[in-house]
This record gives sequence, structure tokens and C-alpha cells, in this order.
Amino acid sequence: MKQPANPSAEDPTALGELYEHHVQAVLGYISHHIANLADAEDVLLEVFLAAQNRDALVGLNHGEQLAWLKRVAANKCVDLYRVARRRPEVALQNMVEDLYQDELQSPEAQVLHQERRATLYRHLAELPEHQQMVVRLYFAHDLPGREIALLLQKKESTIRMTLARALNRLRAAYEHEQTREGACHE
Amino acid sequence: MSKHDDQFQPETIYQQIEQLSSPPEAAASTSGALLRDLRDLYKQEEEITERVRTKLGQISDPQVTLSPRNTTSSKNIQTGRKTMHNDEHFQPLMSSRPGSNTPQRPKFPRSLLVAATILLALGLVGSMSFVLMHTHLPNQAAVTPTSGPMTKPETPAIPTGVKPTPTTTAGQNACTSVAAHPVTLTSPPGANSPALYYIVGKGGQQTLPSQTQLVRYDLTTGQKSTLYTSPEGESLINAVLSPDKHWLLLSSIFSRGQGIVLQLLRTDGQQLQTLYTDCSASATISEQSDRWSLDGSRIAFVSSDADLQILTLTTGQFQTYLSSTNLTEVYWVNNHQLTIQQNNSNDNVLYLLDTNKGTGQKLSDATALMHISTTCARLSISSDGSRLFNGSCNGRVPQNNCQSGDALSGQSVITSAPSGNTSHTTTIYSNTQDTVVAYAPIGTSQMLLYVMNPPAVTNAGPASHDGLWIINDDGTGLRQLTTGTGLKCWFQDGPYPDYQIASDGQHYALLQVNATSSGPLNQSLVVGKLSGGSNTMIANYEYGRENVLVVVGIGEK
Repeated sequence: MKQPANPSAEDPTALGELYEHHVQAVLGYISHHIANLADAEDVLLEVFLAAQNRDALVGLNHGEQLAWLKRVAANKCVDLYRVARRRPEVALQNMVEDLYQDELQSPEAQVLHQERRATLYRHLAELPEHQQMVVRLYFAHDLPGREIALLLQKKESTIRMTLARALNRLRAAYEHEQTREGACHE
Repeated sequence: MSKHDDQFQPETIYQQIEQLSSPPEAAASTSGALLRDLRDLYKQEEEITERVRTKLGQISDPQVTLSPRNTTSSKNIQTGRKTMHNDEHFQPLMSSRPGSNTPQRPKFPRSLLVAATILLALGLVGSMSFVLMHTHLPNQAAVTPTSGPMTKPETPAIPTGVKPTPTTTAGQNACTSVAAHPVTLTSPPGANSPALYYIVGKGGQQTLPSQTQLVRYDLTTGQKSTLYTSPEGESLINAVLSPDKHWLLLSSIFSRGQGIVLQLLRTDGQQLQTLYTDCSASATISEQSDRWSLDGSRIAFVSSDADLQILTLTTGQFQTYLSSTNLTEVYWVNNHQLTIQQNNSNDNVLYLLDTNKGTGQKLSDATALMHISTTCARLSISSDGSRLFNGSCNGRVPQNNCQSGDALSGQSVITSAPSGNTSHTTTIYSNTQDTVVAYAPIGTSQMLLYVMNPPAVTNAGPASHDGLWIINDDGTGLRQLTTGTGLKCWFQDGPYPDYQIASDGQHYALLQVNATSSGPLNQSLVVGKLSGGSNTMIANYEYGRENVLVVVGIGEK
């Protein structure tokens, strides 16, 4: 029995709890829109600072809180785009390549990495909730399948199947992206 | 493409991940890149959330310097991060919110998952640090009637030759292995009275349920009593009525993830006795695999390592009859044969196992009866074991109000076949529009169906058909018992079905989640008579907190 929308009478307005409850969803939302990690971090901080000063969150259920936080995050992202347009930009071709002896640290590699990360966030968000949970527990929490099964009270075989399905779906999305990129380059 | 860059296979998923994470594979293959990116993403996410957490704490109260999370291991990083609201360092932040007089709130349901993660991690550490013998105390807090008879649990005898190696977890209830031993089952004294038995508990959606209780509702007097309360550290996950309806087989697991306990409790709440306790770390019970044989003399269950094990109550013999993988759902066909399901990634296969062929069998020794669709299908059996029932529908359709869940859609078909020869199938029910989301055989001649039609789906049946129906096994006599306002979502992967039905041939019990136009969802348990008339709601919970987890069935006390 998974939890559907649960507009609880619970009123979790304390910032610590609010942060714990929604940080992953809000960060995921921000990461969809902002590839740059430092910018995403700034926006995340601003969203919860806004929440800290927002008495209107009192009495909202979790779903309403998350909707409010996402709306604020969307506004902050738009603000960031506007600011970014006013920032002085340095063309990549003008950068001295030998400044970046490690290829992974080069601006181009960083940009590509950020784009791939944003893409992965998007594909992860498209997975069914239970698949997202299993992938997170396995890769983020580093839990073995058996422990995930115990936590989620499912069979270990179900966890293996869920994990395989999720990874195959992500992998298919990756391959699709690669095919599309290949077609663009042609 | 790398040789390992094939589809991820459930059977070898962990090895594939390990191989693809090694440097050459990680660089060369799409799958390797995916795994590397996943790890990077979560690592970066963790770093960001930790930094923002620290900044929020400092901004909220500059006098307080929040110490970073324990970073000794990846598990600690993650669990520490998610339990911030329990961290005393974070309290000033919460209490110093301008204009806030809000007291600290109870934990979110999601924090249960986090708590379980921590407990699991602690349990693993504890099990390595402490290898002590403790007495399992299943009876200590076992029976706390709110009304009805007081119970006096019996202390089980602990025979020699205990099977598994005992382990223990520090702090809470500990586990000591108890080998199977002979038991004698007696009927409860006094006049019999029909009663509904069900399990309630907190959580249970994404965590093990906690504070689980077995409740009896007397269908004659309307009196409700709690027969059994799980000791701290244990979760009662299932209960099964004996064929004579006088005993309950209770299956519990230690909530720190180690050990299972099988107990018997008479339906009057007396004579609690521990049948068997396995404290090994891998011990758990597969879904719906704990079953009484038709004569009540044996109990089958599938343990976590996918062994079908059978306890013979009169002798205390505990034997492994079948070893395989992905085994689940057991039904006794007669006193020596049982069906067992093997769930694979693409389909489920039903096997017939003959215990007369002896212990230590392999799946190849069993007879493959039929393939079962993985969508909508649910197997059930008549009370005498003679007929198997199989339900199917047209698959899942997305529903906007279900978050990540879907609805099921018709055509729905329920078939019946002799247990030993499933090729001779008879269709009991077939409807091109209505969607049967749950069904339950009544004895040997009737069946209850719960219809829940998805809205806004072409050719779906009308909402007026939603509710509980009864039908004869020959397909005649279909009539509606209740109307439904249920949630149109179906979470097939959940540990406890949203809709559960039980009947004793006279009464029915129905667990459903009610959708309302506004306000929280709620779960209700209603009872009524098959002959008709209004039903009575005997339990009602806000969905997602404390809930009815399992409708055990209607027995006698």
C-alpha cells in the first residue's frame, strides 16, 4: 500500500523538518532547470530562506508546501536566468586550454557534465516513485538489495527487478540521448 | 559496446553493477557511464544539501555552529543528513523562526523510512559488536485486551538443538532462536461467536509497520478487543486463521531487519505460544506464503532464502521441502500437495509440489501448472483446495490523481480450474467494462468481487458499478452488495493491498480507501451480511498514518 496524496492535518512548519521533508524534491526540481551546481545550491538556499520567513506555510499540508516551494524555486530560477544574461561571459574559445591540464576540469567538460547531470535528473524524475526510491537507496545510501527489501518490506527479488527495470529505463534514455546527439552532429 | 553493456538482468544485477563500475567498463559503456553519473549525482546532491543545511542553521542562529554530518561512511552521510530534524544542533534553527510559536511537530511518515535505515545500520553494527544470548520476549507485551478476556501467555519451551545462530541487537527487543517443538491445539471454551480479525499498525507503506496490533471485532456483540500487541522492535506482518477458525498463525519480523517469529494464538486471545524463531540476519517471510494445511496439522512458509519450509505441529518437525529462488504465495491443495508461485521478471509460474516426494526437492521436481500474468493477476483458492482462481484485467492506465500510481482497467476476467489440472478452465466472471481490483472466494461455491472503474477511460464501466459484488462460482447470481466511493488508484507494488475482502459465508468484511472531493483520504473497514442490508463501519483511519494493514478473516472465538 503506497501512500497516495495525503493531505494530512499535520502542520510541519518548522524549517528543519520542512527542509528534511522537501529538500530532495526541491533540489530535483531546481536541477531540472539549472545545470550549474553552484547556482542550484544558491537557489536551494534562497527557497528555504524564503520559506523561513513565510508564515503562510503554517497550516499547509505537505503537498501544498511542496507546491509553494516549487513555485518559489521556479521564480528564483527565472531570476537567475535574468541575472545570468547580464553577467559578462567569456567565450570558451578564448579560454587558454592549457590552463586545464585535467580534461575533466575544462570548461567544456564541465558544461557537458552539467548538462548530462540535468538530463539524468529529468530521467530520474520520470521513473515511477518506487523505482526512484530503490535507485536512491542503492546508489545514494549504498544499501545492499537485501536491506532495501527489508526497509521497503518487499521481496529481495522485487528489489532486484525494480532496480533492473529502473536502470534499463535510464540506460535506454541515455542511448536515446546519444542517438539524438549523433544525429545533431551529422 | 562492452560485453557487460547489455540490459540489466534482475538475477545478476548486483554483479553487473559491480563490473560496470570498474574503470574500464565505466569508461567504455553506456551503462557504465550511467552508473558513474548516478553516483556522482547523488554525491553532489548530498554535498549541496549538507552545505545549504549548514548555511540555514548559521543564518537562523549565528551563535550556533552546526557541525557537519558524520562522514565516516556513505550510509552515515545519508542517514545523518535525513535525520536532521532529530539533531539537537538543528533545534535552534527550528525554534528561532521569526514569529513562530509552533511546537516541534511529530515526525513525518517519511522519517519512518529514515529511522528504519538508521536502525538497520545500527542493527548491523550491533550484530557485529554483540553476539550475546538474549531471551526472546515475544510474550512480554503480547496481549493487551481493551475489552474481552485477559490473556495469560504461555512461555514456550526452548528445546535443545536450536537451528540458527542467535544474533541480537542492542537496546530493544532481542532475538533468541527457538526451534520448532510439538504443540497441541485446543478449541476455545464456551459458545462460538463469529468475529473479524485484522491487523492495525503505523507506517507499513515504505517501512516496516510499527506498533502493530491484532484486533478482534465480535460480529454478534460489536465488541472490539486487542488480542495481541507486538513488543517493541517487532512488527506483526501477517496472521492466518486455521482451517477450524479457532487459531491464528502470527508472523512477525524483528523491525531491525533480523529474525522472524512464528506464533500461535487462540482466537479468544489465550494460549499464545511461539512456534519458531529464526534470528539469522536473512530470515524473513515471503508475501502470503504462510499457510495452514487443510487439516491444520502443518504450516508452510517461504523464508527469505526462498526455501519452502513446513512445520509439522504435532511432532515439531521443521523441514525444507523446496529450495529455489523468488518463491512466493503458497496454497495447500490437499494435506500433502501445495501450489507455489515463482515470480520472475517477465512472468510468474505456478507449480504443484507433492510433499510425499520428500524433503529437499528442487523446482524441477514440481509440476508446472500455468503461467500467470504479472499485471492484475491474483491467485486464490477455494476453502477445500479443490479449485484455483485466477483474475486478470486489461492492464494499468495512468490516473492523474494517483501521483505515481495507476488505475486498473477492464476487461476483467476471473477463471476457475481444478487445482490439479489447470488446463480445464471455466470462466466465472467476464466483463468488458468493469474492473475487478480484488476478489475473494467464499467457501466452495461463491465469490466476492470488488469493482473500481477508472474515470475518464474510454469504455470503462460506470461509477455506479463501483463496490462489492457477490457471484456464484457457476457465474450466476451476480448482485451488488455495496456502492463504492473508493480511490481510483491501484498500487500494485505495495506490501498491503488497498482493497481487501474476507467472508465466512454469512458476513463480509471490506477494507477500502475512500476518495473524497476535499480533505484527507481515509481508509475504512466495514462489515455486513451477504444476505444484504446496510453495513457497519468498524474502523476508520486517515490514510497513511495508522492503518488497517491486513484483514485476516472471519473466524470463531
